[in-house]
Amino acid sequence: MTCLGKPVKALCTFGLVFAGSSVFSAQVGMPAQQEAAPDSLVLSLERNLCMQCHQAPEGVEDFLRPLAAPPLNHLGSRVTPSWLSAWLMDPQKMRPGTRMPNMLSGFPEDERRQIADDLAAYLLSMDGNEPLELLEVGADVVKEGEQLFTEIGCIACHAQAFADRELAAMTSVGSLRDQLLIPHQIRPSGLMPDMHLSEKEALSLASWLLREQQVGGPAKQQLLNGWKWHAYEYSGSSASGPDWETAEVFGHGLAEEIHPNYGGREDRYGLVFEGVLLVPEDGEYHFYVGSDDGSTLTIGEETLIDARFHQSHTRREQSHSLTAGAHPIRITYYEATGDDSLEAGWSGPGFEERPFAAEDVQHEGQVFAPLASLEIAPTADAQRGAQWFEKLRCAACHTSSAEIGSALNSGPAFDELVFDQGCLSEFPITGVPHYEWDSSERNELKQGVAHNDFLQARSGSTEFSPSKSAVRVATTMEAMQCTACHQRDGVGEPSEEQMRLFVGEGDLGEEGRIPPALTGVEAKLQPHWLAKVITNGEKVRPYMKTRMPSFGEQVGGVIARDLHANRRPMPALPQRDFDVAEVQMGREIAGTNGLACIVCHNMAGHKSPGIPGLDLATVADRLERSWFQQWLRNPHQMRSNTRMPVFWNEEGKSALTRLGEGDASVQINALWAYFSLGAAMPLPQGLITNPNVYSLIPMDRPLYFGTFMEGLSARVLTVGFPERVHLAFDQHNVRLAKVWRGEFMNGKGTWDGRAGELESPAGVEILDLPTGPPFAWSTDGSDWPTESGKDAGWRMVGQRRDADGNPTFRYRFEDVQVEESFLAKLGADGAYFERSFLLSSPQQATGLMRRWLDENGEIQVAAVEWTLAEGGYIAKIEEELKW
Amino acid sequence: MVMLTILLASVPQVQAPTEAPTEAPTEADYYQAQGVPIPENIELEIGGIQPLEDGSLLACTRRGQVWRITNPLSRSPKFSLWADGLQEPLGLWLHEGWIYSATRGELLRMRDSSGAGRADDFETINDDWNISGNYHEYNFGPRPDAEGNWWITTNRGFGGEPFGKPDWRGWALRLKPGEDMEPMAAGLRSPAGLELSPWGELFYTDNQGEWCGANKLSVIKEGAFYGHPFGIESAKLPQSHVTYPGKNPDGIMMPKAHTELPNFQLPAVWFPYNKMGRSASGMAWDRSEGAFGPFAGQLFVGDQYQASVMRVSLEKVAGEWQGACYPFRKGLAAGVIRVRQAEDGGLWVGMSDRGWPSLGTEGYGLQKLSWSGEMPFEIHEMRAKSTGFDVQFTKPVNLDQTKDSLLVSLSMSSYTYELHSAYGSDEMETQELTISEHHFSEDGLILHISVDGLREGYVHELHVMDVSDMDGNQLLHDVAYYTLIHIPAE
Repeated sequence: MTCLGKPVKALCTFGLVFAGSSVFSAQVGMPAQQEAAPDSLVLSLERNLCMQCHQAPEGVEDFLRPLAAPPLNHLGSRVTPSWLSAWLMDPQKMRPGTRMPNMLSGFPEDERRQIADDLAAYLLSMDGNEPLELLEVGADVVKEGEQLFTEIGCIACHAQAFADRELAAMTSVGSLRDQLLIPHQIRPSGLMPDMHLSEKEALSLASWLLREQQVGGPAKQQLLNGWKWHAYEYSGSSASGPDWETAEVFGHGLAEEIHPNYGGREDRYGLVFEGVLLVPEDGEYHFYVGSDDGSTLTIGEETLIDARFHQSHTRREQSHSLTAGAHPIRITYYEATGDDSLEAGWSGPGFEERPFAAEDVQHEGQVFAPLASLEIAPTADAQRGAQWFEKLRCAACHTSSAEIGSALNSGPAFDELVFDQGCLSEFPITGVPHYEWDSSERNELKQGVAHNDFLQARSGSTEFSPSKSAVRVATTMEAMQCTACHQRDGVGEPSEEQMRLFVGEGDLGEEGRIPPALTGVEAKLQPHWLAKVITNGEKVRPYMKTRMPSFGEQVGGVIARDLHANRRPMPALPQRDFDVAEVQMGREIAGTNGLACIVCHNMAGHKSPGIPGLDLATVADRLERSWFQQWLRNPHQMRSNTRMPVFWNEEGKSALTRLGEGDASVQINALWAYFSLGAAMPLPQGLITNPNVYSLIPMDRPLYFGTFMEGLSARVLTVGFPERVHLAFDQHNVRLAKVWRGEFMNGKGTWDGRAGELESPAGVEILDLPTGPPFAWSTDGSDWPTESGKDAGWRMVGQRRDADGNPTFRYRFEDVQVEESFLAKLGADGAYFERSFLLSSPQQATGLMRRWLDENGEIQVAAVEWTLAEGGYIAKIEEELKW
Repeated sequence: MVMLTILLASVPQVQAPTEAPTEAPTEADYYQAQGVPIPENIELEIGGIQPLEDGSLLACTRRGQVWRITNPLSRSPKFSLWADGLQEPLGLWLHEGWIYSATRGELLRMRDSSGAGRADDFETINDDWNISGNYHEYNFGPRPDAEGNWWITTNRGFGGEPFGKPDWRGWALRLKPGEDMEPMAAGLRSPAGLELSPWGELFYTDNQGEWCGANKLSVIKEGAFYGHPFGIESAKLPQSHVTYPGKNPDGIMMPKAHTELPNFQLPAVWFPYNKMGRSASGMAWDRSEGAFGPFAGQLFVGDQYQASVMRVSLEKVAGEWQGACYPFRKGLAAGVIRVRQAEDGGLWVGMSDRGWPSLGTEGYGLQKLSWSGEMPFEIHEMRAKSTGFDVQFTKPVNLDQTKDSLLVSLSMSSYTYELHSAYGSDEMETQELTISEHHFSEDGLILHISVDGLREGYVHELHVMDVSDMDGNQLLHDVAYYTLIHIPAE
């Protein structure tokens, strides 16, 4: 098998592929690229998996990276028997350009058919008979698939209006959805990369790719579980809801359960759910519908519940006697503005009240079914198939659960090949794989293998020289189709027609929608980031709809290593100490009172008020500092079409003379120091112009937010600081409970609608302080009380806020008063808190111990040291709370 | 309803002394609502209002902020954040330089000790109750009583209680600084308004629902039970000032409940559902002695659903407060949560409809109702008499017209509510009443009516139609709802 569908730039026609890559231009300032041509011989050997049957000379194996064939496990849950048989008969005919050779072309026609059927029967019997999952899919879901196909970049490799009867014969929607979710497991070659699809997206794509199965498929209209829904336009002006006869439909689909969110709107819409209700026996049934706003429930001709009002959630009930059997049922619902809700269900003889289940209701519909027989051919014999599997050495390339010995190296070694008796022969030979190579590829393979010239050129050392790795990079990029989206050293990039289909958000020009060129990328990105991008598809350009796929650890890791090896030595930059003043200067430069980076860049997860360019909080983690410096000074030299402006003139001075005298190196260093705080950076001036009403963003001074908090209590005062460290003080349990970094809180659960949700910090690096009070009478900490708060005798006294808004929490245990204060500070390892305590007591509270967490998260305990003061005793304690 | 039509005279028609206005006056002709412009990025979901001496206002929001609004009625008032981080504060009260507020978890007070324009000192007055994390555990108030105690009312919860079932929900709590709380009265449902009367007693409003047949206004009495059993188990705890009343019968008429259930307290005024709004909220007595028009000493009550302010007159009969409610001013911007009288007599109206529907078109807002100086023709007050009622008007009825030419239409019915677990109560045991006799006082200000079949414990709904003032205007509102707890002896 090959990757799904038909690659547009199929690797079948090497001549074509290489024609585009024959011209190279070495670029100034970039690593040497003289030998950066894809090596066509290497590509051919790796792609065709020659080394699976033929032992390659020593040393060459380390260099070649065969693109593994798909494993044959669980084939039955992926393909139909009839498709598999046809495929084995003649894969090249079915998918011109596939890597799969024809294994049967040397057999007579009638024998071929039987062998293919037998093999198919055997392959499908290997892991038990898991059936293909057949699904019904709503029209709305199929439509989303079409949009996704274009938007996320499938079209870079696959035909634009992809519709393939062969694929439609091969598999089912449910199966294809599953395959799209785990492409690396199905095809360890990485040729089909992981597009980071959600289950919903995978279903949409699969249903669109297999849409031919719906029209004209063998499955007839039948009764299927669940409802059909239609969404209607509704202005909200009529209190009795839309006129369903005349209202315009804006969406439709299938529903397993009743809720108000079909159609995707929050306000001004109507929904109609229809089906037939399966009444299990004659008897009295009790129905309910609750809604905000209006709703009706109709069974047969009778409208049992008519609640066409603008209302907050109100539930109505009605009993009705019904005979056993199917009764048409229709629920209408509409929402004007504000909160929306809809619930509906029933109870009856022998069952308690419950919401309508998908099994209670049916509608007339049609499943997507493969355009092929799901039955194994009656004359097929799996045992014979097993014999053929061994005889044809399928296991040389494919892993499987077959208990058949390895077929690796079962053919003659490279230096023992007889060209016209094996697979290099132009004519099919019985029992030998037949490849439809064109003459130039066949000749290249013959010459390469015969003369062993690649041996001298390419092996000998496992260390890569830059020139060698440059070829390796180019070859792999070609093989993995990176060049379908990215240009590197003049090779690759999408066709003009495809380029038009790439879309992005905001006005970022081509930079905002065309995947970036990769020339010199190894000098730009730090190695760990490069690896993240290729293996996990790490994404920093949210505006670009095209997705960077992930190639997985196995394949992606190797590409990243090659790229890294291809890098010239980097200039050594002196290590810099963390300097709060420098960070603050960087913050000012980035803000609207400085050079206003934020006008075109997002920052720490917050959208730029102007163009949503990539997030600068990722810069220090992603980029090489040397590249960053060059980029800021000369962006256009590094990328001719960039919109990045130049801020410093040829003398290295910017217009912003107020900071660092406008000096480029001072200002760029300050920006780097600031960006190096990453997502926990204090936000720059002007970034938040129109805050989302629920995102709580401390900008100039601490922000206080009281809420119910998950795992703590219903009485938590959270305090957010501009330094982007935050705390949660549990006033019920009278203790500091959490500190964290990054985002502060989102108030939606506390402020939206009737609210009352349990909130959690919106940020990262959340530290949970140990339960129990910070002070207690204890011997060594082992018997520290776990209870604090009222039940344990601790009471809140209040709080004070200093002139800058910093908090002091005041509480007491009998006559021991505690004042606990916090100041947020910036530091090299991120911001932290200066936490201080002032204890006072009329008597010396002997035996009172303090407990805290040190920087390593270890619990420490020490006695409180009292000093005599006016009116009693006091104790002062300072702590740096770092985590 | 049967209309009782009384033919006053059969003398042929004469011309009315003045020409009838071309258009009937409306509420807004007498009471204008002026809105405070709110900056776009502030969601002013008002939970409490406190006017300050300098004419500025403090307004706390359901989002836990306290805003100071300077020159509120100017074109662009200044909003500055005075405090934040409170949990759903639903009331403000200024006392000796401190601002007191009831929040979910505590009664606190706060002040700006440095004069920098922000609260910097917050003190917990009392937090003896626990909260469960249920959204509906609102607390209302505080209000101080004559002895310097603070009072708050607590809402019952609905649904999940993630941090455990709490005590003291649906209670009126008395809180003395430095002392343990005193749970004084039980059985409240959704007591959204709490106010100290000019004579020193506290009143609260409650919202229709289970065990609360209709919206109501009640006087808070130590040891009283108001009918909702949600938090009544707390009465068994030692702190309770309420004797545990036992289990409520599910379905008993209110007058019967009044005599049969221990400690059961009837409201002073029922607000018949829909006829007088759907969700009674904050209130304020008119203490302006005329600056707010003819209703000095009467009570103004907000309604969240109707985005309106209603009016109430009270009188004490046989030791119990009772009285009537009247429509007053509809069409405010959003659901009314708080009503607070300004120094100049106007009424500040604070609004939010979040979570509950409202006829108001905005989500929140702050308006000021001011009297135009024109005297509206209204039922000023309905008072109980031993044989019927006195209906006093704000200005003289045109007796000539009434005597000579026109019919006065009067009708009265009475009904009560049932105490039961289902949501709300229909009007029960409704009777059409015969008005056996009526006459106007000589000055045309009072209509005396005698009614057959007055019933104690029932709402008496009166419609007065076809009377006009000397200018030919009909009554602005022709209805009053009198909750007759006791029929006066004489």
